Amino acid sequence: MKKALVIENEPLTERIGLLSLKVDQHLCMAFNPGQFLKIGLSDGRFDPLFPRPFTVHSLQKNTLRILYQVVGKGTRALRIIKAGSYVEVLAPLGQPYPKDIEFPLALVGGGVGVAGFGFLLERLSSQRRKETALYYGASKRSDLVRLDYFKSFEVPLRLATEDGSLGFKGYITDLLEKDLKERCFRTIIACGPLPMLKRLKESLKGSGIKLYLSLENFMACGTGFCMGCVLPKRSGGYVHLCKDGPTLLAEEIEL
Amino acid sequence: MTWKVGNLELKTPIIIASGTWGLGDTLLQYLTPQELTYAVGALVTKGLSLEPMSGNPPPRLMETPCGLINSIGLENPGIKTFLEDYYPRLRELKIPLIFNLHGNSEEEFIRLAEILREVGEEAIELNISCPNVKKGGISFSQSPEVVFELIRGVRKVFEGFIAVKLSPVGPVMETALACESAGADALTIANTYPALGIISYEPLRIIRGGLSGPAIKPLTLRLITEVSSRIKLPIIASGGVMSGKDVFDYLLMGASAVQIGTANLIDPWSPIKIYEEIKELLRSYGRLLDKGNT
Ligand SMILES: Cc1cc2nc3c(=O)[nH]c(=O)nc-3n(C[C@H](O)[C@H](O)[C@H](O)COP(=O)(O)OP(=O)(O)OC[C@H]3O[C@@H](n4cnc5c(N)ncnc54)[C@H](O)[C@@H]3O)c2cc1C
Ligand SMILES: Cc1cc2nc3c(=O)[nH]c(=O)nc-3n(C[C@H](O)[C@H](O)[C@H](O)COP(=O)(O)O)c2cc1C
Ligand code: FES
Repeated sequence: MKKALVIENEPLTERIGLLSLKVDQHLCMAFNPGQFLKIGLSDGRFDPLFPRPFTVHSLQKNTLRILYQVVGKGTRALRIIKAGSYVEVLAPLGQPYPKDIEFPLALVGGGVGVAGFGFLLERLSSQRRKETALYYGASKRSDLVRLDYFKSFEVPLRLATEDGSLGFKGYITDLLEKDLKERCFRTIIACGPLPMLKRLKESLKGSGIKLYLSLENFMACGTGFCMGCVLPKRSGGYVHLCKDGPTLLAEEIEL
Repeated sequence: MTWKVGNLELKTPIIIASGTWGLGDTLLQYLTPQELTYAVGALVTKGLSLEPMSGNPPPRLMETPCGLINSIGLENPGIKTFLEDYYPRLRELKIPLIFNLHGNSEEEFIRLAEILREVGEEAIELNISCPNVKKGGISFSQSPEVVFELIRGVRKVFEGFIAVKLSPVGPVMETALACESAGADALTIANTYPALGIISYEPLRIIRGGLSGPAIKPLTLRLITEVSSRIKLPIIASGGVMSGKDVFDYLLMGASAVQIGTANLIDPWSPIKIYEEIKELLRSYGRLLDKGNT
């Protein structure tokens, strides 16, 4: 793990934060959208024992950002990290988003699952962005974060909230399904809570749209060392999410 | 300086433990060969079986305070594929390799040892202590007589270095004595502690596995202290090493070398960091060790 300086740790909502780290040029060059890093708090504590994995949300001019949601002790510790202090990082980990994306492309994010699409949009050419739409859902208006940032890419931004406080009222998957009656996408990449991903997989079966899912589970190493982060493959055996993923073709895995 | 574990000579007392560096294919993404040869005395392979094993269904991991419960279930491609696809690159590192072996029966262990003899490999670690498989594994550790026969059998076909990796639970002392009288070269003490964790209530998700990490170090340190006071076989310590101090503690209480496991999962550079720390401690306190290391 290497030390990285915390430039800023901005609370966006009660539970969501935006952490900005300064990283060296070497790491900037090494990262591709879809990859992740693990972050440890470098104060020698053994609890939590393992650094936590986070997707790169943005990487511009040596500033790497992650969008995180507080769910347990690791992310609680992350929340109180102050600008000017250091965290330990190991990166880049995992495989980038697939190289052979066929456009038009829909990116579907539920909650902080939207994080990785920022970095992807940063790296897409303006031509490609014209053929891309971003679907972003959350439970309520205040949980739809970084909207100005996402708007800056000038892609169609389709929003949904469960309580209807902003955008479509309902799940983001409902909005997508509605749109699919009039719009056509050749590839969809989705990241979010497991029920959302299951629903998408189910509803897109037989549609001919290539569906990729960015998945998560508890990771000890993130490097392929422990063989712990497995998901069953449809063809038998297991994928190792940290090494083979985190983004996988939906039809190849059992959820 | 060389470190002796019986007839095995190591450049440093740091060994990377079985199952905590995968099959070796991703190790060099995180460490250079130079870093490895500088800090690491030996590498113990993932547990290898005669036939491929796909391992246990998820969940395979759960973090506990200062520890990790794992239930990997010895996922491995089988010894043949390992030797064909992974071994050639590892051999180039010129770091002694110790093959961690998993058999369901004495015959399988013997066959595995024969295969390694045929490729000219000289060091094995018999895993009779994995808590995560239905057959073999820890069940051997319940009966010292079976372990005695097992080692005698393997010894007949394998002249090289034989370490036996013990479970920390069960008749540990009796098993250690059986290893000694059957002609093993060293004991690895110990594997993980059988443990259970509850991941969620609804749906109820439970993991049964082995506990590792800093939480277990005081337990394994005590075990090693007791075994080393009664048994002459060299001991390789394994359990919760996170720092140079942990290594020194084990050396002081009778270990000849020390394995790093869970620490490797946290940070691939752990062996190098820990080696730097132990060098420093040896300068200050090395005189306290009476190990006959040169
Ligand atoms: C590749 C990857 C990328 C990620 N990217 C992001 C991101 O960009 N932003 C973000 O906010 N989060 C992201 N996550 C999720 C994030 O890593 C976790 O939320 C974080 O590790 C939680 O740590 P914690 O200590 O706060 O919570 P924990 O204390 O670890 O608990 C979190 C939850 O997980 C449950 N849990 C614990 N162990 C298991 C287990 N073995 N199986 C199932 N559930 C378990 C707990 O009960 C609890 O509900 C990503 C995860 C992965 C794998
Ligand atoms: C993910 C994981 C996989 C392991 N796989 C093996 C294995 O294949 N064979 C074996 O003998 N021990 C295996 N072990 C046990 C370790 O080699 C080590 O003995 C144990 O974890 C205690 O040391 P530690 O606390 O430093 O990790 C494994 C441990 C972990 C955490
Ligand atoms: S988290 Fe260890 S192999 Fe993926």
